[in-house]
Amino acid sequence: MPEVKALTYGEAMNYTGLINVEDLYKLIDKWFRDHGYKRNELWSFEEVFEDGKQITLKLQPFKEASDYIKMEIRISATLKKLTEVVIERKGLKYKTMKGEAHFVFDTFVVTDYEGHWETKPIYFFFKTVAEKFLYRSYIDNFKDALLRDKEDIKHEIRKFLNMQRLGDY
Amino acid sequence: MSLEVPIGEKHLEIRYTGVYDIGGVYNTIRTWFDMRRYDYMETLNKDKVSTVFGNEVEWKMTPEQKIDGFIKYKISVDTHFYDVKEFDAVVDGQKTKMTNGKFWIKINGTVEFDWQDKFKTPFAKWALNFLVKELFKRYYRYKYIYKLNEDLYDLQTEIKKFLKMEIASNAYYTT
Repeated sequence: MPEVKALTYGEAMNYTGLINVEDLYKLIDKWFRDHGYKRNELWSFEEVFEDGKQITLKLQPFKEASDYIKMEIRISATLKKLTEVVIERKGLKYKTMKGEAHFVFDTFVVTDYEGHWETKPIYFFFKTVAEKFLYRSYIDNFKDALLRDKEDIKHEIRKFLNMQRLGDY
Repeated sequence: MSLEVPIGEKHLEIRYTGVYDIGGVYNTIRTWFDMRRYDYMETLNKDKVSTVFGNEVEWKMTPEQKIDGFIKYKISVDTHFYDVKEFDAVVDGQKTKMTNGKFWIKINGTVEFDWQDKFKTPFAKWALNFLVKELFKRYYRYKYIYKLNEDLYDLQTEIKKFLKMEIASNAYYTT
């Protein structure tokens, strides 16, 4: 069984205001594709309630950095009370949505994801010793890269939502 | 004895609550398989009168596609519709039957190696496992397993586009 280390867990971001859900989803999807992550969509729920639409999304794309290490970023998004609104910008009318958005970012580093070093206890022992003492800096490089990626996607989403709010586009 | 390798750790899932066209959902799924020349099979088609709010409809589709004499793609689509009660509505100027309710669709896939069961002896089974899981692991993964995974996401995107869901795009590849 592979070993999963959570680097960050439960990092939340909230937003209330105008949200173009379609473009936001495209942005997230495209960002992961451009950065070499493989698609992994765990949940995609869309429900209509009296106070508006609710969209629940859970994405956990992963990148196999090597045959030993896999990096995963999990984004759980809950978009609530979404209602359609028409806004006017520079004389043109646009249809978009308004509501509340709650994002949670988690990052995981998975080592020995193929399970080669779990078949015998002595292999597991060697693997643990090597990870702790020999290959520590090697694994730390991937941890740093993963945290950078997480901050980058978070910044992209924040930038996208703030652009909508300020109306600059 | 054939060897089945599942695609991913978990199935793909869509859940929807709102107004939809149940016949259109079926046609979308069925057309997708027909366009890609899958041998379509339906192991379950249930329509049960359950409550005063509506019927309960279940479908289980298990289409297959023989890639060559050694590899076969198998897809499993499970659907479950609750409170199915049709009403007449006008959509895009045309009168159609719509449903107001909720449903979920689970999509899963496996790649079957040696679907003709030619590797029968214990040594042959060991050799098959070694071939698929060790020797040519990356080859099969990149050529067949990831390809089927992309197809499953494409099917999921088609269903979402039909339902006009907000999260219906796929940046990984466009068809």
